Amino acid sequence: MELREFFSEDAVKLELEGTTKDEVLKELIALLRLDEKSEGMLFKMLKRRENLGSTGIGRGIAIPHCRSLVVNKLRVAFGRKTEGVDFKAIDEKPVHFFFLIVAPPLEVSNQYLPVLGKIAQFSKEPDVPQRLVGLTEPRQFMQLLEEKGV
Amino acid sequence: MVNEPAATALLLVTFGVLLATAILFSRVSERVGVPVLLIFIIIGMLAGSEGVGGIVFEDYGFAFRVGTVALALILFDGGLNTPMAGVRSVAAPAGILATVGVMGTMALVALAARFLGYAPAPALLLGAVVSSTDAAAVFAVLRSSGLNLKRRVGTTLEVESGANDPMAMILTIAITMSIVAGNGMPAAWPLLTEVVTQLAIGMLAGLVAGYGGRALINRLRLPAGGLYPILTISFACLAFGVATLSRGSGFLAVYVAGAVLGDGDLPYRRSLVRVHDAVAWLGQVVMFLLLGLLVSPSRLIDAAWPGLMIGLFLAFIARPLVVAVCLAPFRYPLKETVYVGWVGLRGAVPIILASFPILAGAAGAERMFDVVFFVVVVGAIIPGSTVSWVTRWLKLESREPPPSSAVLEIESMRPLEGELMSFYIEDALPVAGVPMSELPFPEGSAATLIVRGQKLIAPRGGTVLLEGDHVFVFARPADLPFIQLLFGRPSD
Repeated sequence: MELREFFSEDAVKLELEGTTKDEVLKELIALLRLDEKSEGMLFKMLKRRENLGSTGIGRGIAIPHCRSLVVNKLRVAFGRKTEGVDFKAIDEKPVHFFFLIVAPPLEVSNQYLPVLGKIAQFSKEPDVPQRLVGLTEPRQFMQLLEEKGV
Repeated sequence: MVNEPAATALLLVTFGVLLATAILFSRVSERVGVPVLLIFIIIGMLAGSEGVGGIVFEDYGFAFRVGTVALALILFDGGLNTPMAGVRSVAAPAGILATVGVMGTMALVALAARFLGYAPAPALLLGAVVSSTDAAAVFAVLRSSGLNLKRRVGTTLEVESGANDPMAMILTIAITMSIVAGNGMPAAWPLLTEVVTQLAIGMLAGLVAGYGGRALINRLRLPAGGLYPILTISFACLAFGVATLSRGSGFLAVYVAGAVLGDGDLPYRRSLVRVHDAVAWLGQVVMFLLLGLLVSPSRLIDAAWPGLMIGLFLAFIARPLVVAVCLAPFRYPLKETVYVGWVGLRGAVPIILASFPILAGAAGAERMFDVVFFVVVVGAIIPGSTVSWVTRWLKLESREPPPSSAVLEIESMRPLEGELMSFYIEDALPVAGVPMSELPFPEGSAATLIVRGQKLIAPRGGTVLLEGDHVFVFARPADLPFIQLLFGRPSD
């Protein structure tokens, strides 16, 4: 299983417009192109997870995630906000890079936790934040995943 | 010494009965919803010269000394338990409340006292004495009602109450001295200089004791674990003593020393914290019992009217107004400002401070002591008994998971690489409903125990984490972010 199999260029947004945690979450959800009702449900679920402790894991990276009935297979999205957003991250620093993961409540293939683990592992690589800053188009994001072999 | 050891034995029996009664009756405060301090004071009064106990105790000097020692140890414990990350976010508002707020409360109460016929200087003294708050009173009520306050409001109240005692103490002593010297009202400028100097020296002494103590305790190898809390108690004594002898605020020093010490690695941390918690409780109980013994209910009747008026003025006008002004620049939501304004309960500090003018021989000081006593009691009853209700009404309770029925801890003499943390499982977490074998634990991390209701479960590959479980996870520092991504925020 490789991360790049789950991402697609149209679910990558390099210039997020939101300036607050809620706005960014909504913008990431919009990348999954769901109907309005599903977007609302997903937002609620993501907020529930954030209330149990921020998914901002430090180094400017956050991995908001949840399970929800609104998807029938695992969906992911990536967003970047150059100026950074206060996401109440573990290191209390602004977050610039957001990886959204949404999984269906019951998965046959059990991909949710492995994908979460892989994204976290990818984020831990020393040069990743710098490389993410340097992206100019979604295609390069896909190339970076490929290059890192995740 | 012919009566010995009978006299000592009698003293210990009396002390033992008083302590035991106070502790056994502390549960009453849970049911009635009043701060536990009120229960302790009432027991003290019942044991006193006009109560069933008939104990004659009129030694204000002894009470002041015991009160000061107790307060120093309580503040040290408060500092030790203060979460520094939270403090940074509320340092400015709590700092303003503890300085400008104390002066504002003093001025407003003095104004009210003037209306009740007090001369200017005693009115100001009364204002200074009742100006400090006691967060422990608020937290004790909340804890007994099983409520958790939103973090920012709680930390603001906590840091304010730790930091405003020094200010109230400095003002009380300065004004008392001025009255005793026959100068009446103290001049504003020297008073302000005195305040700034004392706070600066107190802060410095606290930082030196805190950082010095932290370095020392982590380098020493003591022969018994029980000696470590004695060493930390010595840091508290030194911080208070050296600061006060150097003309600084001992109370600020001891609070800062505790906070700095608590912010770093400590050997046998949990036992250390528990010992200080017990010492602080002993301080609270002894202090309030003594204060209860010290007042005579018959004399209190004379103080009832001014005491009630000042108490109500403080609760309904002075405190809310001062808090609203002090917090205005920090954009606290209205309900948080209202809450902080309402629950500024007074504790033992005003009563201890009120005994200082008596010791200094200020005229009318005994009557003021009774009035202050009344003010504290009124505060404990009126805002005090509404704390739980107001917390719910303003929706300021935070939803905290229920405590685990078992706790697993690592105790070590040296700071170790790795932490054991407890997590409460909710269904929004990615690990809920997943068998252990599928959790992507980093190398070197593992779940060590699951507490499910009253059952202890050893995690095996097929064990599934359920909503409502408490799980203990061991992790290396580098893996903490990922562990928290999987399990959420660790329980305290």
